Amino acid sequence: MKRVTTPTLGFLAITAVMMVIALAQRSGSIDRAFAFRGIVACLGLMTLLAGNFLPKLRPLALREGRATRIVGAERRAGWMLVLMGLALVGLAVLAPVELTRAIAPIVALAGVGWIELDWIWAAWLSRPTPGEARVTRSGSEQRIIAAWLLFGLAYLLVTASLKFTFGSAGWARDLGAWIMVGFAFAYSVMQVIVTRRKNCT
Amino acid sequence: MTTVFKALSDPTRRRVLELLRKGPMTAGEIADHFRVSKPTMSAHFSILRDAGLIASEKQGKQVVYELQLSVLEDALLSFMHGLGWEQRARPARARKSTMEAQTR
Repeated sequence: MKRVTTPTLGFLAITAVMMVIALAQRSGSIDRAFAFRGIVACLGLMTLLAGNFLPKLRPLALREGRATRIVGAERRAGWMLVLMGLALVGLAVLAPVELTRAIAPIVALAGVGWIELDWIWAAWLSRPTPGEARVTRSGSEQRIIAAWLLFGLAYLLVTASLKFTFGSAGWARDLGAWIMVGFAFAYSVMQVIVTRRKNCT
Repeated sequence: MTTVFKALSDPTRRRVLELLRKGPMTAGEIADHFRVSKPTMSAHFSILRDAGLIASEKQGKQVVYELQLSVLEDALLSFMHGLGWEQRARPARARKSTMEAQTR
């Protein structure tokens, strides 16, 4: 559980800072542009934090044989999230607001989309063959927490990106829902493979 | 973070991490790559495990180790490897034997 504590506390702390920024903007203490920069920077930090700990938390948790592909997928997802986080923080701090508003959503959506496709691809390559026996790790609390952190992050990134780009249009919300369904589907496919491998042993 | 730096400061432990990059290995398989006693190797595993850089799982009579690096730790290890610290940190005796072999 020690491994899960730091990212979870970090996640909660950054969420609290985001809420403070939103409240400060509503009360008129800070202007809209500053609040926007603050929110993007917080999302970037959150992405950075989740990406850094993702390979350690092992949300897909398989081992041996072709399952090394899945370990690779976790590692690539971690690196992708760290790079996304750095890009978002860099945009929030250094770039003009208009540029950040245009590029940050593309960075976030492209990153989440890339991870979805990479996981589906890794699942396809790692599908079990009949009679194959592999040793797998048992399900653990840390994997469940990692999954919730990932879904929370993906939800925040997708909804914030679409809102920044298209405002509150109904179709944008639908698109966000479908992206999340895709993310959940990619994760579910991986879990089905984990379960099948466990049954093989 | 201190425990991580302490774990990465030793060339043998860094070499263990490099070996585990290829996939999970048993304690015996890892120990075969080193000319050190089992208790020494066990101490190295213990330090790496305490730093959270590797995870172990008992399977029958064997203990299987696997890498568990965060992106930052992964980058740090790659950075050390890229700088060639493994070469510099090799014991003088090993360097001497390599040089002797080359001069023959």
